[in-house]
Amino acid sequence: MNKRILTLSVLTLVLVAMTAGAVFAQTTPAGTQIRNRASATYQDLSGNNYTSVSNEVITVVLPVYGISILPDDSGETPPVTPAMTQNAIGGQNVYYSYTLTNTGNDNDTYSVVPLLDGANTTMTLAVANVTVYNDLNGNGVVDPGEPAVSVGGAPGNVGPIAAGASANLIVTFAVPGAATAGQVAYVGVQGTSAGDAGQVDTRNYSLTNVVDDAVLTANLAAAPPIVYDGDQITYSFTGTNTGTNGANGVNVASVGLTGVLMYDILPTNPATTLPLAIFGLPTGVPAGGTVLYLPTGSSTAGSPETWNWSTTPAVGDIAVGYISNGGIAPSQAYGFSYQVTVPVGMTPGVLNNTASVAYVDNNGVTPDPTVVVSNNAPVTVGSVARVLIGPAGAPGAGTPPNYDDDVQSVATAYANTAVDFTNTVRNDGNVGDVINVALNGASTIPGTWSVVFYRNDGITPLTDSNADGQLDVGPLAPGAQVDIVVRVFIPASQGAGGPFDAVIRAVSANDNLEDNLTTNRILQVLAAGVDIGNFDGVPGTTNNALVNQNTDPGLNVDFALDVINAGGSSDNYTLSSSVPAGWTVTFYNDANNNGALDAGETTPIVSTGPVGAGVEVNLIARVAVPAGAAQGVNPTSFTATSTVNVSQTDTIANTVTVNPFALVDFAPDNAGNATAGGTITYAHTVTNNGNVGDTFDLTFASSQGWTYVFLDALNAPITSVTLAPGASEAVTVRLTVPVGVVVGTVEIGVLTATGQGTGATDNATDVTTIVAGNLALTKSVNPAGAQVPGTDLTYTVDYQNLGGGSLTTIVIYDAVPTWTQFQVGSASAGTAPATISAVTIEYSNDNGATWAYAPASGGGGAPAGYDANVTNVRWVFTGDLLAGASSTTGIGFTVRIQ
Amino acid sequence: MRRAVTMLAVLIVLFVASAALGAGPLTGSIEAWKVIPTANNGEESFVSADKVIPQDVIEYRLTYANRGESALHRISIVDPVPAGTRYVVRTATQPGGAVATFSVDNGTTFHAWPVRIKQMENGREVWVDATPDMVTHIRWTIDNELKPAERITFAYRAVVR
Repeated sequence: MNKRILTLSVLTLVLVAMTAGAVFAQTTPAGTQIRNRASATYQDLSGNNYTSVSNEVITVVLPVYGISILPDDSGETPPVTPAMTQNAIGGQNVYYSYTLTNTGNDNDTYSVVPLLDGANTTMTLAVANVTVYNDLNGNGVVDPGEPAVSVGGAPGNVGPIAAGASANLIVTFAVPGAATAGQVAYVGVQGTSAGDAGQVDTRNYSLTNVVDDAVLTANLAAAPPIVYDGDQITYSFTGTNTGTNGANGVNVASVGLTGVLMYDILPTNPATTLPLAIFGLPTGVPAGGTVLYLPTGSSTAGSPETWNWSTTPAVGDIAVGYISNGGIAPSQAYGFSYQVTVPVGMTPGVLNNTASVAYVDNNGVTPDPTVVVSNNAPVTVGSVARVLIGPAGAPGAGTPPNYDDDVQSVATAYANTAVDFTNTVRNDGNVGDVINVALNGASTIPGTWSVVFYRNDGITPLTDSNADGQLDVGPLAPGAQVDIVVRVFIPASQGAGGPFDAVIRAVSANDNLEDNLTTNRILQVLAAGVDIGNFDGVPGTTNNALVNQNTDPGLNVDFALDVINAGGSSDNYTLSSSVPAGWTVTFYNDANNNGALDAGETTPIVSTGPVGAGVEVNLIARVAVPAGAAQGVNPTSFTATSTVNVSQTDTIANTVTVNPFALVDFAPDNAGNATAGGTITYAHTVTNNGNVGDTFDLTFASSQGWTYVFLDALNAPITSVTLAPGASEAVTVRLTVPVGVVVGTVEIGVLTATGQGTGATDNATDVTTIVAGNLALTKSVNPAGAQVPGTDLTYTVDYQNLGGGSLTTIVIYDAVPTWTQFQVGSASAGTAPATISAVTIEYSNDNGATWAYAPASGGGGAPAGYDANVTNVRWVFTGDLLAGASSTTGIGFTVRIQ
Repeated sequence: MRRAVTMLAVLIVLFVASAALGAGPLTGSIEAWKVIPTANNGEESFVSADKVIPQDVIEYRLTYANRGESALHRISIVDPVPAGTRYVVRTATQPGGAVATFSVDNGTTFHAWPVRIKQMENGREVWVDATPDMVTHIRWTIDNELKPAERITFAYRAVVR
């Protein structure tokens, strides 16, 4: 922020008419849009906060026109108190300074014409003798180049003049040379608005007295015409005795001096009402005079020579003067010059000032002293735009001269939240300003962020109050400051990082090159975050150390978990796990936060549900370890994933150690019937239900002392089975019943599988009851009775299961009788019950040792159609013969009697 | 005076924006009416204040209605006195338990009228009453609940500068 002097653009409107009077309109300029928008805050009954912003109403200000010419007279004809009064001698030019002000709210031009009160004017004068000039530099004197507005009494134009601005006019005429003492003239001036002809300021009559005496003129000039705070104004008061006699001095009792007294009551700063301070030493002519000062607090009532003047300057002096050493002779010049300093923060606008001279004339009748007041010498105090923005309460923070490097910081902020920074904006200029605020390009916040400006209530968004297309803080008087809230929205997707700067630029609406920066910094953004760990019983913390649980296969293990929302906004975490294949994990909400799954907490969940910022929730992860799970350490991890920002996850890595586990199953138990001398088989399955491979020895214990043989699937005898974890194998047990066992004997065989390595063991029990035989065979022959050789005999064997259980593995054997020959193709399977799916007929040529013989016609020397080699035939049944079932047609074959 | 305050990294309270901020059941509308005194003593008429000239008086009417289904409370309504106008003293209405307060510091603080301010006089600070032209904001707070379908209208007048 450097001090910036406003370029007074309004000056360009004041083409010829004005002194440099860029002043500031008191009325709202034509075309202004008056905008109004209200905001509301409120709560519903749940305590939720809301805001509401109304529509905006816009009212347009129309132009109005006005004029003021000062000073006025007191209104009577002739006026009791003229606008101004001057003494003059015949032939002298007199000058009267007026100020014409545009009191409207738009640019305007004015028609100006001089007036003469002919009825009360006693000297010979016509309005055509009066000229009106535009006193461009406002020094009260018609300078070369300054234009005549009205000549010969004809109207002339001044302007255009900006709203609120003024033009200085000088009305002048020459007192006729023949005029005599005591004659008077009343001359005034009238102005009419071009925008509204009804707007007229008239009269303003000034009085000119013709005298035969001393006539002192008074002119005040000020330089430069435009000043800014800290500058000096040089005032030069000058005059000449244009009269016919010398001017006599006044006696200033407070300093004991007598002379012609020139003096100026110093102009004041409207902001403080204090007089501008005198700078340096005043000087005066004629030489030999004395500079006088009027101390602060002194009265300025009554004649100036009676005031409490001092020859010593002091802080706060309210007037300055110069008293000549004696009188002023005709044609003698006089004057004094002094400087004042424009204070910092001085209200901009026109600073008016007049000076005076006091003397005693030679006319014993008129009151003394005579005081002649100079023209007004206006100086424009220019506007300075000066904008400051900084941290709350410190708009001036930063390093001079620019004050742009001030920073306020927050240490951390979370994604998916907003951070409020309060910035204070101050108008350090000397004129009301509307200060725009905007995010500056020097900001380092990512493009996905947003920044919104609010009033200090944090609710009402800043608006564009002056319709210049930029948000602003509203009008600010000089020296005033206002807080705004800069709300920085961090999107949910923002990852961790920093610092991020939101650089705010405040810019004067009066001068868009006058600006100031402040930086609102977020040092570290914390992403939406989650911390999942093992249960530690302490809200807000987790146990991130690995937890191991030991279990046997086929059981559940529970992990108690803590999930903490490490982000800054409410979040919901999706739960997932990583476990060995075949394992399953189910999550539950540990509603009572005790680290255990309790009744009422058994509803499975897949996510945590909403978790407030910083809040911890407790979960149970139940891991189902399948039966047969291998022994060993199994990584078992649980992961929580933010739904606000799915890149935000956390995992707790635990383990489940599956114990070594030995278990064998030998099943089922069986019961069956067998016949003495017969065999019976029972089918079993040995299963390794442990998680360790082993070889299981197969042993038996017989209640009758009989022998069991274990057979594998290929009917090969075995004494053990080797099984991997989870594997099983079919084992058949064959019991051979000794011959001669009494029917009704009961055999109980206890069969045992015992792991060689693990010692795991299991039994199966087979109960066998000895019966007379279950399969009844009834053999018949056709033709029955004695037959001659060559006869074909057909044998048929009918069969029936007499037992209470099914018969399996039925093989019926029959031998070809001696002295007969087997008829090829005659063997019949008969018609078996439906449960017998097939009957295979096999032949032996070696009395049943082998069953691979194929009968052939003529075999063994038999006649055609017969085979003498066939010794035995058997029928191998596939399927079970149910209890009570019998053949429909028996099996059989045909032989020929040799 | 500005050198010592640089880079103090002023501690700022971290606010989390209320999630509830946003459109709610309270709707507000504002109307601007130009006040026209009639010849009869004290009577006035109103026309829409689309266009005005300096010294015209605008009456702003703010109507807030509860369009929700439950009552609202802690209602606070703030209206900045528009730039280019000056509040007309004692024209802010206070209907039905509403209390109007005034800010002369751009909405930073609100006080009952008259607002007392510090001012320079003869180079010294003195406490004086603020003048109506100093009013920057008007705030109404409503003690009562605003029930569903109820509405409340506030008004004040401002003169065009």
